[in-house]
Amino acid sequence: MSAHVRAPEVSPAAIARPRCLRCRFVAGLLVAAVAASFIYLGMPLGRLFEVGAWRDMLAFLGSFFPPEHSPGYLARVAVAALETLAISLLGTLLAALAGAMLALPAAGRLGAGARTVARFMLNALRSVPELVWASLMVLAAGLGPFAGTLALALHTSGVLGRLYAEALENAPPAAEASLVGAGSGAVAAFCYGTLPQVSAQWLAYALYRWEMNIRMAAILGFVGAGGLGAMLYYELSLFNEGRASTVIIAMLLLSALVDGVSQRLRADRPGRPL
Amino acid sequence: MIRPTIAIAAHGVDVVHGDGRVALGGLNLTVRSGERIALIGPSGAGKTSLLRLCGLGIAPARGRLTILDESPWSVDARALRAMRRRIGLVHQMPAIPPRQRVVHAVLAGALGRWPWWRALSSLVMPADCDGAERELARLALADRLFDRCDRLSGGQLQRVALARVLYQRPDLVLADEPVAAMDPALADSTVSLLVADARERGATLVASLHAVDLALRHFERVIGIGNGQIRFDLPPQQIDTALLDHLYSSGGSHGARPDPAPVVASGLSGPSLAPCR
Repeated sequence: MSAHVRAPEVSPAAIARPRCLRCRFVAGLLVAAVAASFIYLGMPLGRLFEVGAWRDMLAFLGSFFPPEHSPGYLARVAVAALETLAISLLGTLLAALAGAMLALPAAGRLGAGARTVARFMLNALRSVPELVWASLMVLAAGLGPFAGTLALALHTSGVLGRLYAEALENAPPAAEASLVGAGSGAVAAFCYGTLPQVSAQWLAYALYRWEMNIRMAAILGFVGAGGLGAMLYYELSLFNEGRASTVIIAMLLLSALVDGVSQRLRADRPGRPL
Repeated sequence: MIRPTIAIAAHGVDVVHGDGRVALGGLNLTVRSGERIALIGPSGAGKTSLLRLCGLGIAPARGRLTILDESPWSVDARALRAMRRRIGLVHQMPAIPPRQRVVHAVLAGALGRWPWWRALSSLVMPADCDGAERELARLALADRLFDRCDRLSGGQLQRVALARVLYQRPDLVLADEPVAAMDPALADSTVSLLVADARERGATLVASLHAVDLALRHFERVIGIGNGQIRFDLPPQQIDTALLDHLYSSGGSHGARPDPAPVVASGLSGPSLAPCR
């Protein structure tokens, strides 16, 4: 990989024999590593090409059709989809608020000590994945959408806080400084001088994370945190493939919807970062 | 409020930049309340440093400084903030967030006297649209009240910054090249507005100007600055071509069009040239 990336930069004369030897050595190592992985994992690749396997696979996929579409079940799926939407929306909103609160000290506005503490907290929040947070929150707050919302909010505030702090650090300080120089208080100077320079970026980051969180909220149900995921897990456990397939279709529609909305909102804002 | 008698008093004040360059050396200056003063001189001579010193943006390295009858660097934070409220500094490049609406940029002039909750609620629902529009109208910009600042030209942005300081109504108005991005006719009417506003309110005005004719036409006292020193401090009638030629050549360049490069080379030599990253 690295050899490919570097190739255009060097002149033909520079690609001498020693370098090529090294390329071959690396390529050989890669092939050996892939082969060793196959052997170690014991993957029976050959079975992929057996007729029986294909028949089994098709039968499995076929069991998902037709999707269950009785009005009563569709209503239940719609309710679960709304729950997932609500989890992702509330989780992202809480995360944006908490992220903004943590971003101010993390950008070094309240001194070096506060900066270190805030950075550490953001790192800790961010480095625990949503699913792990969800398992913890289910233990702490019980099964249901509340645990899912908290889990999303915790992980996402770590991510957004970090991005928000970077946006704050990159914002030119002159506007706020000139307001402080005219006797403005710290809060007002921030809101009139710096916030307008980062607000569009902050919003774009939040929308982007919302897009990701709607997909994550659909999975969180697997650990008991409510929404479509909980329904999918339940139906699959009972081998109700037709019903599970309705839930999967609902998930697809929901993420397509949120992607569309979020892209529209972000496209309206020039200078968007993502 | 009691009108201050002395707006600015500096005795032997030195201003030194962070890297050790001397911006102003041994400055002696007294400005009575209500005076209107123009600063002229080549680029890099120290005009901006003098304005920032008076605007409490930089502290003097040495000497005694009195602004609006108080010693700014020996009072507590609360009193310092109260002083800053009475000083309005217009920057050469107005530092206004590009996406901010003009109305908020102008109303920001009142942040010193507004409580924080009023400042925040004004961002949702502008607290004094009429006031902002009135100040903009004086600068022929009332129709841009709800425009975003990044849709304005450089000269229009400078006028927004001026409308902000007009709205602030400070006792001491400091303006750093406030009309640099405007055409001559507009520059003339804008400077004349600034002077008239200061006269009506009894405020003190100190403005640095590149256009010497504006300084001579509108101000009662003109101070020439070169190499961080006051070269002359005269009423405009006593300023002649020879004096101006000498001022603008003292930094190394000739004529009324100052060239920044030679000033840097001769006046601010040494460490500033060394670390060329």
